This record gives sequence, structure tokens and C-alpha cells, in this order.
Amino acid sequence: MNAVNICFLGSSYIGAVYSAYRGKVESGEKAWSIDFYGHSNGGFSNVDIINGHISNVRFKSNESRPVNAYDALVIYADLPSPHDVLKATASASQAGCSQQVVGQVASDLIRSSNAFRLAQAFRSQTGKPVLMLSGNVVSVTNTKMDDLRLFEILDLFYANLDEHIYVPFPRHMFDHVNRPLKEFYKDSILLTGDRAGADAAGHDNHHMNERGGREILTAVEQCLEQLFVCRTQAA
Amino acid sequence: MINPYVDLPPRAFWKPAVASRNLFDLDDVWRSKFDLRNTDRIVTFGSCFAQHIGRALAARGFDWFNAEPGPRGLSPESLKRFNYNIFSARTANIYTTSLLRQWVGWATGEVSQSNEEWEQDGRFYDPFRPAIEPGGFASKEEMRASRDRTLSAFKTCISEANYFVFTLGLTESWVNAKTGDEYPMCPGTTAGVFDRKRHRFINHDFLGALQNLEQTMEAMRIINPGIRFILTVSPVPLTATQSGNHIMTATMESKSILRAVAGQLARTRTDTDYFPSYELISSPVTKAIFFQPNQRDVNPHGVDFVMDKFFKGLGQSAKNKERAKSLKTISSSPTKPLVAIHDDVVCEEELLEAFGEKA
Repeated sequence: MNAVNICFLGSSYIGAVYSAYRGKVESGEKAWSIDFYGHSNGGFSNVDIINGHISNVRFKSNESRPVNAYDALVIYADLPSPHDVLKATASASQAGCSQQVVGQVASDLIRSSNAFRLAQAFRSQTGKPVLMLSGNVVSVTNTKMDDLRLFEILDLFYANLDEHIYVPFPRHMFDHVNRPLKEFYKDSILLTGDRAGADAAGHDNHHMNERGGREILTAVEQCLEQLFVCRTQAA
Repeated sequence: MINPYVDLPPRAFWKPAVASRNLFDLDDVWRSKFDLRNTDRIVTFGSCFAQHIGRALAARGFDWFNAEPGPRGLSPESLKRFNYNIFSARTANIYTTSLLRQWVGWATGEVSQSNEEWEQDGRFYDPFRPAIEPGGFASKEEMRASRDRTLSAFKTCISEANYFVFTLGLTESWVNAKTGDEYPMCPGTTAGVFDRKRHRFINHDFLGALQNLEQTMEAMRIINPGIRFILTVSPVPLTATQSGNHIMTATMESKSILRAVAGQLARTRTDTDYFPSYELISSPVTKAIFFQPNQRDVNPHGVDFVMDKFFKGLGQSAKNKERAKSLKTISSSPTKPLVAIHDDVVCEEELLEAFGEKA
């Protein structure tokens, strides 16, 4: 399993995941080989793949490697959350738009993210799989959504991400109306994997803590296991 | 010897105003009747060329009013594909004065809306906006609800606008022989099925076009007594004609009628002005340099030339020049047109070209 190299790219949200990963490695647990690359959300739109390398990032957990050295890319950045898509599509529906237009709103929202553009670039340059997570889910605390609606919205992600794999947040990170539970974002972690200090007031409202990061890491690892086991079997 | 030509300004004489000048030095071509200000609410409708006027107004910082903006989250490409932010409501092209009359009658409720719909492969098309929803609507109800919303937005445009800018495009059109409802496109071209018994061709003469437009303007004034009209004629030639005449002859006849109608109304009504888009592009003075190689579509230089004269005529050119510089591409706010100024216009009539390719 350790022979598989993963590129984990994202905005400041990856800090919690990196922290969880670092803890796992330090404690001697079995872990995938993951390089983390990140840039805070404001600058993520400039992140690119230039000359075969992830470029314009502010944080790297290791020395940069060419993208074709990786077996898969995980992007956890500016892809909209199911809550964002729900709000946009509900607004279009209320404005009386046709079903076709409402569907297009969801599609445009999902596909206009830099995460999607980078996924397309990575896939076309390497032919390797891309896993994608929605970005700022934990900060969405005022949008209620029943499970049926959530599944409908998740379908929109599956339909619009082409061949990329969408990794939904684990259901137990949310309450009964799919609002994120506070226990996953109190005492949040910065881009670098360090705990936010007093100088980052308000950070807790938008970022996860290490516990949340562990949940995301586990969800990604489970997906990677399925992906690479399936590939081995197919081979 | 004294005669009435002695005191006329140079613009009244061909030699100093045209022959002795470079084309690009043509000046004082149009003087607006109205003191149009940036705060005035302006709506634009009509044929394809009307789209340029809406974009240019928004780009110059005028209050181009969009009563039916596209939903948030839709990309500029999708907004254009679904015909949002092209005109001030999602009417699609209104080519004739009678079609404008129909829209106004439906919007005010003075005339009952048509119940007609075109169904094809389980999708529903609005006969009066056949290309508004690519691939059609999911149901008849959805189609009708969409048209109702557009009619409501169109009525808002009439009731809230200070200026209604209308670009006259065609005299030829098709109607339902039984109901008299007018289609913007011949059935069987963009959607629907053509039936000689059910569909009738009409070609408006001067008087018909004039009466339609004047009665429509009066109907709008009942809702909004302060509304003013700026009429212009699209310089874009017809794509195809059913008149039996050669397309060039049919084009000149149609445009001449529309030009005369607009001129007549501008001369006789204090609430109406005429802006010479047609002359600025089609006059022999411009030697057809403002047309694309197909000698039909207006090129970006032509659009700039026309709009420059429009704003100079308003006395607004200098005031807004700096602002325009920073607005090469129009804002992505859903209340503004979302496509670049010189982007392709949305013109359903061009679809007729495909039917002439066998020739």
C-alpha cells in the first residue's frame, strides 16, 4: 500500500487533514504516502500545474515532485459544498427557472471551481484518478437539508465531475438536518497543520480541528483503498 | 440674395458634412431629442442589433434595466445559451412592430395569450420564443410559467422605464391563420411543424407597420405616461425572404418601410426619437466596410462606430469615456449583460440560412 504516492492539494482546510496524517505517521500507524500542498483560500485560485509541477502554493509538506510521480490526486479546496449547491439551485427554482436552468446552475457552480480545473489538468497530464471533496463545509451552519435532498444534491456532484471521484463528508459529521457538528471545528487547525492561535480569531468558524481532519483522512483513505484494490484486481 | 440655405450649418450640406471628410470624421450625425442621463432607466428590445445597444449602454455606465436577470451561479456562457441578459426581459428577438404589439397586449392582459405549444420528442417549445430554452421545456406547464414570468418582467420594463429603445428589424413574419397570433420564427425552422393551412405569411406595408407601432406605444403610455421611445432600424439584412422578391430587393423594401415608419413617428411625436443605426452602417458613405465578409453581419468596428455616434448624440461621450475604458468586458453581475461587447449576438433569424444551403 505504501508504494502508492498521493498528492493531497487544497486550501487552508487541508491543515487539519495534514495534522491528522502527521499524527498517524508519528504514532507508527500504517499510512499512505501523502504529500500535502496548499494555499489559503484567497490565493487558491492561482494554484496551477505548471511544467508538470503543482505551482503557486504557499505550503508543501515535502519537496515538490512532478505530478506524474503521483498515483492519485486528492483536492480539498474550493469545490462548492452540497449546501452551496442547494442554496443556488433553490434560489433559481424560486426565481421560476426551468428544471434545465436549475441543473445548469448546479453544473456551472461545480465546474467553475479551480479545484475542478486542476482536476481536469491533472487527469489530462497523468491519466491518474482524482478524488474531490467539497471545500468549506464546516462553516455552513445555517442551511438545513434533509437526507433525501442531500442525496439529490450528491447526485449532481457525481453527474458533473466527469470521471473524477467525489468523496462526500462522512454523514456522522453532521446533525439530523445536515448542519456540521461543532465538535469537528472547535480549536481549528491552520494551513500548516498547526493549531490556530489567538491571532487567528474567527478561524474556528471556518476550519476543522484534528478530529475533523481525521474523519476526512479516513474517508479519503477508504476511497483510495477501494480504488487501488479494484485496480489491482482488474490488472 | 437671401435664401433659407444661407444660414444652414455645415451638417446640412453633403460636401462639408460628408464628401470632404474622412468617414471616421463624420460628426454631428445625430442629436438626441432627449437629455438622457446616467440615472435614467433604459430598456432595450427588438431585433438582433438591439443587443449591441443594451451592452453599450451598460458598458458606458447607463442604467440598462434588466427585469429578468439570470439566476446566480449561471456562467456567462450558460446565461447566453439560455438567453438571459440579452434584452431587458427574456423575450428573445422581437423583429416586427406587430410582434411588439402582441407582447405588449399579452403583458398588459388586454389580449389573451396563445395556448399554443410545440411538442417534440417529449420536450415543449414556446412558439413565441422557440429558441429561448435550448432543448425545450420539460412540460407545457413549465413553458407557460416561463412565458408568464417574461410577460411580467416585460410589463415591469414598460412601467418602470424612462426610455424604451426598440430596434425595428423585419416586416415579414408568420402568423397562425386561425388565431392571428404572430410567430417570431416560421414554424418548422427552429421548432414546430410547418403547415400551409395553419400558418400564413404576412409582409407589413408602411401603414400596417406604422399603425401597429403607434398603437403599441399608446398602450405602453397608458401604463407609463412618462415613457419615451428611441427607435432605430437594424442595418442587418434579411437572412431569407418569402416575398417572392430577390433577397436584396426584399431587404431594401423592408428596411425602407421600417425607416419611414420610425421617421414618421419621430417627426410627429414629442415622446419619440429616431437614431440612425441603419444609415450609419448601410449608407453608401460607409462603403460597406462595417459588414463582415458575408455582407450581412455587422463587424465590431461598425458596432463601435454606431454606438459612438449614439453617445455623442446624447452629449454623453466625453463624460463617460473614462468609465468605458475600464469596462471592455461587461460586469458579471446578473443584472448586466454578461457577454463581451463584441461577442456574437443571439439572432434566431440567422437559422433560416441553413434552409438556403442547397442553392
